Amino acid sequence: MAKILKALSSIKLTFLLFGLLILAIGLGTLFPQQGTPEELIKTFGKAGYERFKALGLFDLYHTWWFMLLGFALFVNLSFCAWERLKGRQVLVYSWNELKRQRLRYSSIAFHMGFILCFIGLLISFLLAQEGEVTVYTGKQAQISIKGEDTKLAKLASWKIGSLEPLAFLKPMRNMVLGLRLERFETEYEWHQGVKYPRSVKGKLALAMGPMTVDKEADPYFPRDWRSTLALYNDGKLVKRKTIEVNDPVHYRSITFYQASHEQKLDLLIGETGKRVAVLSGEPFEVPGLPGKFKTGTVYLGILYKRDKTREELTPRTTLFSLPKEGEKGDLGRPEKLGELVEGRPLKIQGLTLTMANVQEGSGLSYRYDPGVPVLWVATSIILVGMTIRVYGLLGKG
Amino acid sequence: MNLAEIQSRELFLLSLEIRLFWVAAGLYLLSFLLYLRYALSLGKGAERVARVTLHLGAALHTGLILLRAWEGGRPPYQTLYEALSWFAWSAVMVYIYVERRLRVSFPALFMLPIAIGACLYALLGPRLDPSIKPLPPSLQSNWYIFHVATAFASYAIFIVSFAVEASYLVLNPRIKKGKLQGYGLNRSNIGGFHRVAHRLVLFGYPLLTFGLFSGAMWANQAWGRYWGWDPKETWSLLTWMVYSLYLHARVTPKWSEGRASAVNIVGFVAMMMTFLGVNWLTKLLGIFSLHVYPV
Ligand code: HEM
Repeated sequence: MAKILKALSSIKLTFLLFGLLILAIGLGTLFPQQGTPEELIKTFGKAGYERFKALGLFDLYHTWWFMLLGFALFVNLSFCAWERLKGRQVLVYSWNELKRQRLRYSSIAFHMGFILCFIGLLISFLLAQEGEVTVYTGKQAQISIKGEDTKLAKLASWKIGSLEPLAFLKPMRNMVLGLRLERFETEYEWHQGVKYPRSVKGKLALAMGPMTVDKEADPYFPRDWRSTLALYNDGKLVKRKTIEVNDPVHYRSITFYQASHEQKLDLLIGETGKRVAVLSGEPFEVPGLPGKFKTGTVYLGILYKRDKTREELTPRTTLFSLPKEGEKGDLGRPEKLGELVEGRPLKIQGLTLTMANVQEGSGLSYRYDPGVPVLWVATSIILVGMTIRVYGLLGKG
Repeated sequence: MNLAEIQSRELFLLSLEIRLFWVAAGLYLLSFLLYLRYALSLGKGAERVARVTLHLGAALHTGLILLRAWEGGRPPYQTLYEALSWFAWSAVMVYIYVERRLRVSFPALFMLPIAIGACLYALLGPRLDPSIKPLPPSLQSNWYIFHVATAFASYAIFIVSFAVEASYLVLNPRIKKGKLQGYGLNRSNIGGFHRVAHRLVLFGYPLLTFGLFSGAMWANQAWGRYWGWDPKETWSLLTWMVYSLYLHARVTPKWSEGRASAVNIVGFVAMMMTFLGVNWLTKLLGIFSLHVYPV
């Protein structure tokens, strides 16, 4: 027993575990993680796919053996901390004492921080849930965080015969939130790059000669997407906030993020009164015209111009025709057909197409994760403790 | 100013910048050759000129970084072109500081090829675009400044630590055989290289840690997950673990010498993988990454 304890708290084991983890982590970056079977079979062949999959290489960071390695490091770290702290005074009551022994205490603090970090990760692992939802302006959506979907619930329902020894880990209750997109705004910035050659020769020549602006490239550079969200719990409004990328909204342990945007539009065909419903970026067909088409992103909202003025954009996009599917299924490049501007007809092979009724939807992702606050506390302890410890060592020369 | 005037002013500044960047890279190269001459022939004069040349290159490069920061209204490390320039510049700056303290110039022979390589890659890389781009929504955050600044500061320090450690590994056996006396090196002071390499890692490690943790905080704020095993994230964790191993090796009796040196070198390789290798790796293996540099 004493031998096992000693082994568990030895720094040799730490070296071994660090070494193994480094190798495993590196190995995982050589294989695509969590790809779909079809994609993976295409890359590795059927046999290769089966073999690597059996080893867990396509989802390495969630294999039992990888988690076991991480857990072993956690145990090792805890035993080390215990070995070095037992029988010693840990709590400190006076400021002077703390200052005198700051290196030791900061070292204790940040190693403890790592232990806390593992705990936070475990909470995330057992309880976190996430998902995505797209809502159009003025519309509502509902998301639910279900207790029975967590890993903790799976653990709680673990059975030996008819016994459920972990049933006391009762899954948390469900939470249902209503979500309404009150407003969605997009902003673009006018930007034209330079015409920059790809070849080394061209670049050397450019270093000597003049440069020109690349007028062909799309000049609308996304500057911001903003969603004004209202959150409802039990039918009651509980929160309203305008979110953007890097500025999400939190409610309880759920956070909503601005992730993407989506656009719907109608194409009116000639004078026929017929219309085609289009999702921007997705292929569609036009009655009366051969082949398939798609539009680019629809630019609308505010455009910030280079002379520091701004302009409200009339919705506009580019219409492409898609190449016919070749025999091998490879698609060539879509061909530009022209500019579609709302209310301004575009003539294609004698047929006029008019864009109308553009609507924008906000792509939101959400995550429920009660482990995050624990991780932030751990992080603060680690960063402060480590800085004092390491720069203290430096001072000693 | 109207659009045409604004654009012609920008084009002028950009082509001026590229030309001066070539000059800075040239000065670094010249400085490297002079340092090499010193190392091979003990010409003190060559060492002095090498140092002056390096300082000139660094001063010019600093000017270029400031110009771009001013023009872009943000620290210039967004695109791969900018990141490479910043990477080279910060390594040179840390090296200059360390050389003044160390009073030995051998590590320049390891640091400068890295800096020159980064400059040439920025100037000649096939898909690189040097124009100043607006910040996309995902980068519009204060984390852009702090996270990247600390990560790059740690890179610069680790490069110089590598250069000092590599010099130690090359010089130590020769000094033990009684060679290289004329350079002011002997058995008792050569160990200083190993210690300086360690002190540099001690400095860089908390910065890397801050880079790693602030990256997680930023990912949590922007994408709603603090860790996603993205290749860049994974390699930064790996780099951090290698340097953790190094620090522990340095305070463990059997490991503190040769093995620690080896781990420091591995740490440098891992750091280069984190910075650049991941871009190539993801392209080569067709792996998706959210962190690949825009070019
Ligand atoms: C898992 C078991 C671990 C053991 C047995 C261990 C042991 C030690 C030991 C013996 C020291 C030197 C003396 C002192 O702190 O006063 C130390 C320092 C340190 N540890 Fe750990 N540690 C462990 C985990 C970690 C982890 C996960 C990190 C993460 C980075 C870490 C980072 C550091 C740092 C930065 C120092 C100070 C550097 C130095 O003393 O040279 N340790 N640790």
